[in-house]
Amino acid sequence: MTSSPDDALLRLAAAGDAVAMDALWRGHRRWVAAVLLAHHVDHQDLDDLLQQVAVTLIQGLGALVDVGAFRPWLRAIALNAARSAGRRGAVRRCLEHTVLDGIEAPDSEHVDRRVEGRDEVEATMSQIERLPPELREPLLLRAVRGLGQREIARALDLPETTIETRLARARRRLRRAMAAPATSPMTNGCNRRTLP
Amino acid sequence: MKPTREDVLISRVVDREEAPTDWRELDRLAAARDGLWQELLQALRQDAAVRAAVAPALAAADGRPLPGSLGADATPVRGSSPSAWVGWAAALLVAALWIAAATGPNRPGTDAIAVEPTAMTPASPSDPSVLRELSRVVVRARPTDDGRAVEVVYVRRVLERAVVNELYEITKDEHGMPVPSPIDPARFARPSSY
Repeated sequence: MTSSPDDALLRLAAAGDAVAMDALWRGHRRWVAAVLLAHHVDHQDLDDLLQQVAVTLIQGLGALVDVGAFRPWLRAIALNAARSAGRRGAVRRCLEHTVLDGIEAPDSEHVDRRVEGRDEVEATMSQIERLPPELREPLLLRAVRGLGQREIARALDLPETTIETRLARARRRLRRAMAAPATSPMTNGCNRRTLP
Repeated sequence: MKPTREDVLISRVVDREEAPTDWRELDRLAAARDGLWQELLQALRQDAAVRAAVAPALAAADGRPLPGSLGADATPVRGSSPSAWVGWAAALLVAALWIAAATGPNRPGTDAIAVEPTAMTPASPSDPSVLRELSRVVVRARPTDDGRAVEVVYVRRVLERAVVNELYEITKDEHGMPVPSPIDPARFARPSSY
C-alpha cells in the first residue's frame, strides 16, 4: 500500500506525540462516525461509541506495526464498537430516525441546502436502510467531505474499482427504489433488520 | 449484479470524479436512450439527500474531541447519565496514562517528568462543598527552552457537592441553537453514597 500524508502523523502519534494524536483523531473521526452510522448505530449511542473508538485508538496505536493499515485498523475498531453496542442490547433506533434528528437545524454548515425537505431525505434514508452493508457503507462514507473513492478504498481495504462499482450499484438501487411505487408502508425500519 | 456502464458514469459524475471522456460517453448514451439525464438528476438529488442525512452524525463527530484533549471543538457540558460520566472519566484516565507513558523517562527525547497525583486528598477543607480533588490529568508535557525541566499542562479536577433547586441541561431548540432546559429531579436515581 502506498504511503499517505497521514503516515508522518501516525508515526508521531504512535511514538507518543499528543498533538499528533489529537490531529490524527480530528482527521479521521468524521468517517468513523459514518462507519458507525452505516452499521446502524443509534445517534444516542454514537457519542459514546466515538469515545470508545478514540480510547482504543489511544491505547492501541503504539502497537500498530503497519501505518499503511491504519484506516482498516481504525474501521475494525469502529465495527467492533458497533457490534458490542448491539450485543449489549443498547437501545437502537432505525437509521432514518437517527439521521433525521438534526436535519432541520438551519445553522448547520453540514446540511446540504439542495435538499428540498425532510420527506425526501426520509425516503432516501429508508431506502439506504434496505441496502446490504457492503453497499451502504461506501455510500455513507462518500458523504464525508474530503473522502474520495481512494480514501474509502483504503479504509475498507478494497481496490478502488470495487468501491466505484459498489457506489454505482448502490445509487442505481436507490434510483430504482425511489422510482418504483412503495411496496410497504413507509414506517420506520427498526424491525426489518437486526445489527450485523 | 454488475452495474451498467451508464450506472458507473452517473456515479462518477455524482462523485465529481468523471473524466472529460466520460461526459462525451454519457452524452452519446443519452442520445440513444431517453431518461438518462433525468436519472443523473435524480442521482444528484439523492446524493444531496444522503449528505444531509449523514450531516448530524458528522457534526456529532466534530464535537467529540480526543479524550483528555483541550481542543476548541469540545462540546459544552451537557446533562447525561451517570454511566456516561463514568465513561468519560475512564477515557480521561486512559488519556492521562497514555500521555504519562508517552512522556515518561524511558522515552527518548524527553526528560523525566513527575506529576504528583493528589487523589483522595482534601482540596479545600474550609469549603464544605469540596469533597476531594481527583488525580490531575496531564494534557501536554514538553521540555522547557533550557531543557532542564518539563512544562506540564494539566487539568485539576475537584469533586464538589451542591444542593440546587433547579438543574438545567443544554439542549437544542428548533433552530439548532443551544438552550438550557430544566431537568426533572425525578430523573436521577438517588445515590447510595459518595
